[in-house]
Formats: sequence, C-alpha cells, structure tokens
Amino acid sequence: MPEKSQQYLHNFHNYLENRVNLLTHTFHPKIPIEKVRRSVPNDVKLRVLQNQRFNDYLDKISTDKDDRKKKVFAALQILSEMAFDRNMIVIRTLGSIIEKLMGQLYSAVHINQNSIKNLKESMGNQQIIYLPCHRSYVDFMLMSFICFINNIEIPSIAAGMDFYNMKVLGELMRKTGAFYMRRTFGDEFYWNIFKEYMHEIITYNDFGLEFFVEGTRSRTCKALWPKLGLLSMSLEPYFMGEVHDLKVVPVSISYEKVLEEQLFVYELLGIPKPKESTKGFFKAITSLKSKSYGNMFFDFGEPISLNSFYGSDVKKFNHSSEPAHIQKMSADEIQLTTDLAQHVLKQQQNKIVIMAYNLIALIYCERIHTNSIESLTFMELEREVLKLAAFFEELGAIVGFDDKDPAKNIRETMALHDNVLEVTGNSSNIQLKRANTDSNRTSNGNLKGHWLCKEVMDIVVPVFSLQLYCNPTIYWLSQPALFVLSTIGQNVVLIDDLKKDVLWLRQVFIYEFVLYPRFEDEEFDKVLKKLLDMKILIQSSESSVILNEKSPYINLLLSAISPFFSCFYNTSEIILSKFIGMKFVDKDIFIAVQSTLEQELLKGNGTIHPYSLCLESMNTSILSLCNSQCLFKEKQNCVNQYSIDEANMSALVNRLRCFNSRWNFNYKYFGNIILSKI
Amino acid sequence: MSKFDTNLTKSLDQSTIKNVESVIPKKRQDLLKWSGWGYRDSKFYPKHEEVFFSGARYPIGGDVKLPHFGDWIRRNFNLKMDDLLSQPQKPLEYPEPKLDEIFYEAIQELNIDYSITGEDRLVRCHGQTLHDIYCLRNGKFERIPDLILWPKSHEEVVKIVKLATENNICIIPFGGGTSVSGSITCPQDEKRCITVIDTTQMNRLLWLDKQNLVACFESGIVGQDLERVLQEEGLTMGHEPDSIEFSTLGGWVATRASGMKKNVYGNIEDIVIRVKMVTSKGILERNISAPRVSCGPDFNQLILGSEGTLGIVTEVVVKVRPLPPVKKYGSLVFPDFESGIRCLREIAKKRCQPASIRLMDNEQFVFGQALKLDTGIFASFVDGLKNFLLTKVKGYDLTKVSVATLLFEGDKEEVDRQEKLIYEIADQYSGLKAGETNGQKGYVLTFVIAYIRDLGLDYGIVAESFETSVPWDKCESLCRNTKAVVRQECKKHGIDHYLISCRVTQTYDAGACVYFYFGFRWNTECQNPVDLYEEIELMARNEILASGGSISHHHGIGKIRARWYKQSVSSIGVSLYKAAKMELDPRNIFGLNNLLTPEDAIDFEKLQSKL
Repeated sequence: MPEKSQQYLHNFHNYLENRVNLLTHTFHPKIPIEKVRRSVPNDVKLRVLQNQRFNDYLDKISTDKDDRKKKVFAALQILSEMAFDRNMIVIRTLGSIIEKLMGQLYSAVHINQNSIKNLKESMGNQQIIYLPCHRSYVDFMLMSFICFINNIEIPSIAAGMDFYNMKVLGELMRKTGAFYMRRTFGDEFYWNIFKEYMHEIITYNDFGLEFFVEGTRSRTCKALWPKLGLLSMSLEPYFMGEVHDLKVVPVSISYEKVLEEQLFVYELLGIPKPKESTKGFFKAITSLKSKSYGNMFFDFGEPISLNSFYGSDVKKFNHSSEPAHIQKMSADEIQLTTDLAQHVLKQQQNKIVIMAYNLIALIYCERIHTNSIESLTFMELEREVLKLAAFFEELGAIVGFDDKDPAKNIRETMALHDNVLEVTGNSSNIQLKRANTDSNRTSNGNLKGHWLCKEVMDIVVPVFSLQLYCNPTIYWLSQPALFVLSTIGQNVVLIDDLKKDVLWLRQVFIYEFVLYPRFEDEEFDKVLKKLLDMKILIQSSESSVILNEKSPYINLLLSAISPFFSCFYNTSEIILSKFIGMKFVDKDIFIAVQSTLEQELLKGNGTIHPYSLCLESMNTSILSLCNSQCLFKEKQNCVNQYSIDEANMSALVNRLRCFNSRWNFNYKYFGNIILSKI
Repeated sequence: MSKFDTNLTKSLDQSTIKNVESVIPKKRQDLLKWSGWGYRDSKFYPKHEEVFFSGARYPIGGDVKLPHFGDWIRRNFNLKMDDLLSQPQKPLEYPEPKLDEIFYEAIQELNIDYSITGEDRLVRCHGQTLHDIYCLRNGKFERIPDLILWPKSHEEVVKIVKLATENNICIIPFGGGTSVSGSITCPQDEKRCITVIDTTQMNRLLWLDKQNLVACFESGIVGQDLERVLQEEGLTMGHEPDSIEFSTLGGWVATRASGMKKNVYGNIEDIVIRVKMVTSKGILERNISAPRVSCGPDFNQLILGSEGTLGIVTEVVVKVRPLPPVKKYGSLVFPDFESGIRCLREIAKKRCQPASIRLMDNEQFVFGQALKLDTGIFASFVDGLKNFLLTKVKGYDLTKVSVATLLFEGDKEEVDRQEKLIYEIADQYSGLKAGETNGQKGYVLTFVIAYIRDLGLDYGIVAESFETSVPWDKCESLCRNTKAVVRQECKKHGIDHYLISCRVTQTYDAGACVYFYFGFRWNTECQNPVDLYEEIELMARNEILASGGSISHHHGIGKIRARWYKQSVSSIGVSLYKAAKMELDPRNIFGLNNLLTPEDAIDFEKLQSKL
C-alpha cells in the first residue's frame, strides 16, 4: 500500500465518526482579515453606491439629474438581487439539514485536520479567496459547512442565477453568504455594478470570498480551463495597491461517487439538464436518501500569499501614482492572473485523492484497449489495482483506499458503482452493464446535438459513466501519455524532436488536458525526468531517448488518452470533410460528428471510441482548432460562427493521422456489444 | 545609441478619457490673426478720426465708437487717425521646407498628422514679442519651421522624439504661441530640419479624481478649454494668465507661468503635481502623486521653466478646486501710486489678499479712462458724485491718483470678511472705496489691452510690456528708477512721443510683481524701431536688476533675456543647467537655444565627437 499517501491521509479525520450538532455549536470564527470593526453585509452593498468609479460612471451615462436618480434606483435594485446576507439561524438550520443528509449519503467524510489548522494559523491579516474545484453542487454547501464546524468565517460565495431562481432556497442561500451573478454578457451597467461589488468584497468585507475558478461544475470530472473574470476582479485591488496582500486557498474535494453522475453523462451527450427548482432540488434529495455515495475527501491546499507567489514579478508601484479608479489592469497583470489561476488549478489537482474505483475504471479501459477484457477476473483486478496504486503514488498523486483489506474495498466500491460495471460468472468476470435508456427521452428540440438511438445510448451511457472515473486521473496521465505517443513505434528519438512533438500535442490538447503554455518547458523537463526514473523511457544517449517497450504502463497511458484523441481526431476529420467553404455553428458540428459516429458505431467500427460522442470534448477540440488557426471564429448575434482554414486544417489532420497510425486503437469490444444487441 | 527609457507603463481605463473640442482650430490662422495678437475678428480700427473695436467677443466690441480713445492717442502720440502706415500683407512665397527624407517618410508611416504648407509653418515660427510681430509684418523671417506635426497622444510624441533623436532633427514644442520671451521663435541659424510639434491636438482630459481634487490633462489643452471643461464639473483650476484664451497647459509649465488669481490657487508650480516630459533620452516623470515629498531635488522644478530646451511636456496632473459660489469685484483709489504700494504691502503682510489685487499708476488710470464708453459699466469712472468726492472733498488730484482693482472669490461670509478687512487697511493709506463696476472694468479690459499693440504698429508706434518681481522695500524705487531711465533714454534718442507706465499685478509675502508698459512713436528716419526699442528695454532691464528686481516674474528668459541669466543664477547655476541639458539632450534635439547666451552655449558638435 502506498506509504506516502497513507502518511498524508493520516491527517484526515472522518467527520461522521465525531458529529457536531449545528444548532448548538458555538461559532466564534477566525476572521480572514481582522479590522477594528466587523464588516456588515448591507454596507458592502451600499459602499458600491458611494464608490468613486461607479459615481463617475453614473455621471457619464446620465442625461440629467432625474435620469441619474433613476439610474441610482436601478442600481440599488440590481444590488438587492446580487448581494449576500448573513443570518445565523438560517445557517444553523440549513447546516443541520445538510449534516443529516451527509450522514445518510456518505459512508465517510474525510477532512484534512492539518490543513484546517494550517489555514487558521495563516488567517487574520489579509482577505482570503477560497478556490475549490467544482465537481458537484455539494461542493459549496460542504465548504460552508466545514468552515462553520471548524470555526472559520463562512465566506461569501459567488453563485449563478439558477440558484437565485429557486424560490425559497435562493433566498435562504443568500442568507448563508451566496451572492448572485447573472450569466449575461454585454450589459455594461450590470457589470459595472458587479465589478464594484466584488471590489468592496475584497477591500471592505472581512468574510472571505469563495468562487470556482473553473467557472462551472466540470461535467467530465476533469479540470476545466480556468476562467479569469472573477479572479481578475478579485485581484485588481491587489494590483492597484488597495490591499497589501491576498491569500488564495485552493480547495480539493474528491468524491468516490459524484451525486450528479447520471445527469452529467446525459449532459455530455447533449441532453440538457433539468432546470433547477426548489421542488426539483428536494425531490432529487429525497430520491438520493437511500443510496450511498461512499467516501469523500476534503482538503484545503497550502494558502498562497500573492506577495510571495508573485515576488518581484508584480510591480505594485506601477499603479500607485494614479488614482485606482481610473486605471485598468495591464496586460502583464492579466498574464499574472492567468498564471495564478493555472497554478491554483494544479494545486487543486495535486490534492485530489485517487480512489480505488478510479483505478478500476482505468484498468478496465486498458483491457478494452488491449482487447483482453474477457480475461480480467476479480482476483486479477485486485492485483492490478495494487500495482496501479503504487504507480500513481510514484507520479506524485495521493491514493486513498483501504489497504488492510483491498478486496473488501474493491468489492464495496464496485457495489457502489454497480450501474456501470458488474461482476458476473463463476470466474468473477468484470462486465460493462448495459443501460436501459428510455427511448422516448426528449424531443429533438431540446437536444444540443444529434438524437442518438437507443442501441447506441444503452452502451454509451455506461461507457461515459466509467469515463467519469477515469477522468480525475487524467491530470497525472495526460502528459506522460503524450511522451509515449511521441515515441511509440519510433526507434531512438532526439530529445529536441521529442519536445517538438510533445509541444505540438500539448497545443492540440491544450484545453482538453489544461496544458498551460507558460508551464510547457518546466513540465516537459519534469515529466521527462519522471519517465526516465520510472523506466518508461530509456536514455539512449545524452540527447536522445527510446521508449521502453517492456514497460507495463505504455498501454495504460495510451488507453487513458485514447478517448480524447479519438474525439479530437474524428471531430477534426468530420469538420474537414463536411464544412469546407461553409459557415457553421457549434450545433452543426455536434450533429455532424454525433450522427456520423453513431453510424460507424452501429457498424461495429472498432477504431472509434464511444466517448468521441462527448460534446464537452468536441467543445475543447473546437477551441483548440480555433487556437491553432484551423478554424476562424466570429460572433454573430451572440452565436459563434466558424469557417475553415483548409490548409491549416488538412495539415493538422495529417499530422494527427500520423500519430494515430503509430499504434492500434482498438475498441472492437464496444462495437461487438452494440452489434450483439442489434 | 542608448536605450530610450519609457518609465513605468500605465494602463488607464480608456473609458474615463474625455475628448475636448477646442475653441482654437487645428488650422489656427482660420480663427487667429497671422500677423498679430488674438482673434481675427477682434481688433481696434480707425474710422473718421475715431477708434472702434470689432467683433462681439469682448465687452467693448460690437463696432461701437470708443469716444475718448482717439483723443488719447492724438494727445500722447501727436498723430492723426489717417496717418495709417501700409497694412501687412501675407507673404506670397515661403522658404522651401528643408526635409529630412528618412524622418519625413517615417512620420508618414506612423500616420501622424503633418503639414509642410508655408502658411502653417509661418504661423508657428514665432511668439508674440515685438520683434516677432515686427518681423512677421515686414516679412523678415528667413528661417521658419520645415515640418509641422500634430501628435494626438503622449505615445505619438514618444515616437516622434525617438525618430527625431535617431535622425538628428531639431524639435520645437509649440502650444499657444503666446511666448513673449522669444523662446519659441525659430532659431534663425538652425541648419537641421526644424520640426514643430504642435501640441494642441493632444488636449484630452485623461482623468478627473474628484475625491482628491486632481485632474490629468494632456499638455496641449488651451486655457479657456481647460477651464470650460472643469467648470462643467463644478470645478476650476483657477490659473488665469492674461493669455488664457490661447496659451496651453504645457506652455504654462514650460515657462513657469503665473495667473491673476494666484493668491487663491497658486502659481503654476503650486498647481502642478506631476508632469510627464519626453526627452531625447526617455521620459522624465515623478512617479508619486502624494501632496508633498522629501525626495531629493525636485525634478518637476527642472521641467518648470525649461522653456522647451530639455524635452516636451505631454501630460500634466494638476490640482483643481470647487468653483467658488461668490465672485465679487471692488476697487480703491489712492491719492498717489506710492500710498497704493504701501497699502498693498500692508495687505500682503496681513496675508489677506483677495484672489487678485492690482494697482495701476496714474498713466494707466488715465489710459483706462480713454477706453471708456459713454454708457454701461464702461461709462466714465470720474463722472458724477465720485468726481465730486475725488476732486473736491478729499482733495485728490486726478493727475496723480492711482487705482487698485480687487477680485474676491469664496463663499459669502469669506468674501464679506475679506472685503471688510481690505477696506479697513485701505483707509489707513487714504484708499477710497471706488465701487464694484470700476473693479470689474479693470479685469474685463485685461484681454483687450493685448490688441492695442497691433493698432500702434499700424501707426508707427512700437510697444511692449515687460515685467519683474521685486522685494517690497525696493518696489517704489524700482518703479521710479525704471521709468526715469526710460524717459532719459527716450530723450537721448530724440523720441518725443512715448508712454511709460507700470502697475503692481501680484503681491507676495516678500515682494510684488511689477508690469511696465512702454511704447513710442518712431521717427521716419528710424531704420529699425525694434532695435531701438530693444536697446531702451535693455537699459530698463539693467535698471530693474540694479534696483533689486528680477530677470522675470513669469514671462521667462527665452532668448531676449538670456544675457542676464548667469547673473541671476550664478555661473555654477549655468553649469548645472548645461549639465542637465547635455545629459538629457546631448544632440540638442530640442534646439530652441533658450536661457543661454551664444557665448555660454554648449558646443554640441564637440560634445558629439567626444561621445
């Protein structure tokens, strides 16, 4: 059993073994920034109206005094919709309900006690921005809950309007610190108010701030390319010298089973999520009650002080000679904000706990890739899981499962996920469990892509569900896999050539695997060293390497990225074959790719991974194609319109084909089970 | 070539920038006279032995007869209104522009507005000294700028200066063109391509900070535009030099300007917080906005008064103030100039100066009467009851009295208090309260007086003003001595018809600013009246300095006062200035050659060969 992980996980305590009564719990919170007077939520709101920049803006847009009065009133209304509040009774009541639910839904809630101690020690002298990864709605309820029971001030939380629209619940959540952000673009008046509100939250409020740097829940359970909007609004007062420092705390939350698993699967296929409503919310919760969602890990990352993170890179003096309210962040500072966002994302990922089921999912996918799934028995699975756990720990991940009785752990987690894989037969073979999807699901109108037939859906749903558990490990596997992809089938490869190939592949998968270009040199060197250490690559001379064909990890790494490669490759090819000389939108691509691939899958074409039907991956592929100038994007009435640069696109597809031909993708298994049904 | 230092780069929110529509057009000769002062539509002109003022811009305009002015001219200069000399004619030909091809092409590539037409170049080759105007009227300028540029931002100026430095081009920064020191007059012996950077298209309000009451303007904004923009916001900068209609913020900084209301708002150096100056080596700017710093020698002070020789001012951060709710005029009449001075001294001592206080000597008082109309506020001041009081009751002699005009600003209580105090002090010096309208008249006429010189030149009268600052104890004697020297010189040169007069225009703790007006009618045999004028002015300035006055209170040194620069700042002072010049501009890109006499000038060729 991985030793380092065990040591690390030793600091985690299972909350459910020592529960707290939230109604009577004494709350004397530690405050992020201690000032002479505590801040008042209502004042945060009112300060926006007194703010110089906002007043200048009002002067500018008002035609006369009466008009200005109207605009102030409109601003006040927007602020009332936006602003957070604080009510301890609501916090205690809502908290108690969540606490009860947790007891029912989860078998264990592991909280890193050390990280809480660490965080509390660092508090008191600067505003804190909590940046959790976002995998589930549970995330922010959990954040507030854990702050409350550990006597940490509950932060204000940036929430989407979908919650606001849930009648009673929206207002209740406001009273626990949620503030609401519209997802509209181009409304200058609104965004000026929102920006100033954020400004006051950073400069005046002492509650701490929480938002999701990924912008939304990751439906794939993989990291999303970070969004800069809220982060740059939060950092602006720092760059302007209005606050001396800020602390950024990455938060990692790991779920053995995600509450929204099936919703996500359907969304990834283009079937829209139901609108949030209070009724729906409670209905969903009551339907969950009986089920178990296994283990959950919660971990505050090391607090990052901006002053020490940026060191001499940030020239705070730059803005000090002009009033803050007339300045903007410079291009350099936006770059620094991006650096921070990417750094935070890595910190979140580093502390995500890899659990047994993640490993099982990977092993299963590898077996499909090597066409040896039939021989996978439960016994073999147990051995493989142990080997893989060691492999992940060597890569640097935290691996969490019960090492005293791995078989029990595996059995339990398999039981938890029995909607995906099942153990069958005398030799305990592992099999994909075909779903039984409703063939009258939705009308075509609400679909984001193509209406997929039941035969395909029944297989694709469990494949996607399984992929959701491979995905949290992609952070560790994607980069080594790109090295393997660049060296496989080659003889000796010059490191310089290897780097060219790896950097090119990084470009291709920049958004899919969140490969930040500014980290590319550092990461290349680090991964190269790691792969040499792990003997996956062998140094053949000072300037060249060769792939160790005997390494047991080659197929694992390739199979881990193959769904994404398959999606990108197929999407690019289909775009190139269908849209030359045309103007087209996202939905055109989705429909073309999904319908074409559906036909191929129905034919049993074993070169296509069913995950290629994933809209999210198509999205990241489109972004990447735009980024490498294979596609041109223009906005028309808020809709992206694309056209192809044929030369660039063909060159890209050719190069991908070349990589594709280096090893044999094989998903016959999926094809076969689809065919068997027909 | 050493690297151009860009200082800290700023990222301003572009949406806070306010564009300003200037009263003065880019083609300035469309609105302004090419051969004299001010607006084309505003001038004194004679008709049937009487004088009129044209245009509707000023209170005495509207082509109404000035019934006493003709008399005054006849009396003082002994001439008839039809003794008109020939009017100046615009030149038919202009010197060929001497362009540097590489530079000229690069400018076009940068898409910077430019002109090489003769007229555009001629109207920017000079300031407003008597010498400049005389040369213009008589077509005597041989060297005029070769290329006129209109940059629209600091960034464009930086590009121009870099290019000019690379190609050894001479740059002349040009704002309103109201200099009276010869400072922007085109150096006649310059061999390189002379490029004028006209700053007037760079006149935006970059930002306004109402909390701290500071504003950042681009340097080319014209005074009246600046005040208009601020007053729309209920604010004022309060800097009102007599040239405010035409002069620019950058010009004020470069010459160390002074405004009429400096008692409330301060002189330009008190108003300016930060200045951005583009030099050939990079950007000089104090990167601090704090109200006061102890931070070694203050380089703002190096920029202020640099007269375009060290670099070009592009952006200025200034203090602004809320508009005063009450503005009130007043006036005092004293039995003589000396008691007036003593009264002003006492007021300064008690530090209760109103926004402006000015004291005119008797000649100016009489001249002021000559500009009166028969009706309205410009009706005669000595009419009616006042006349009676002045001559009979108090025994004031109209040929000796002097008049002080007052301007109060502030809220009502403050103005009331000030007024009371001033009139109490005046009483001790036999100062008689002479009413609001007289005060108002004095200030309103300020802008008109500058137009008189052009009328004079039409009749063979050369006139100019010069100013100084002097400690209180020497104020009276300086005025007396200077006038005496001028009279003596006129006698020496056989000048029968002249006018010499003075007034105190500013008061300080330790002294005052004195303004002299001197004009004479030249004889037909006089070859060059301007040379003669300058000779007399030189004697007058020598006397001013001997009497304890300064080289200049606010006009600056330029070229015409360079000879007294060394004695004013010491030899080491001159070396220090030269060191700064050599450091910031070793190729003499900003080649206006102000401040230094030809003897003291830096030998840039030698300097270059050493580098």
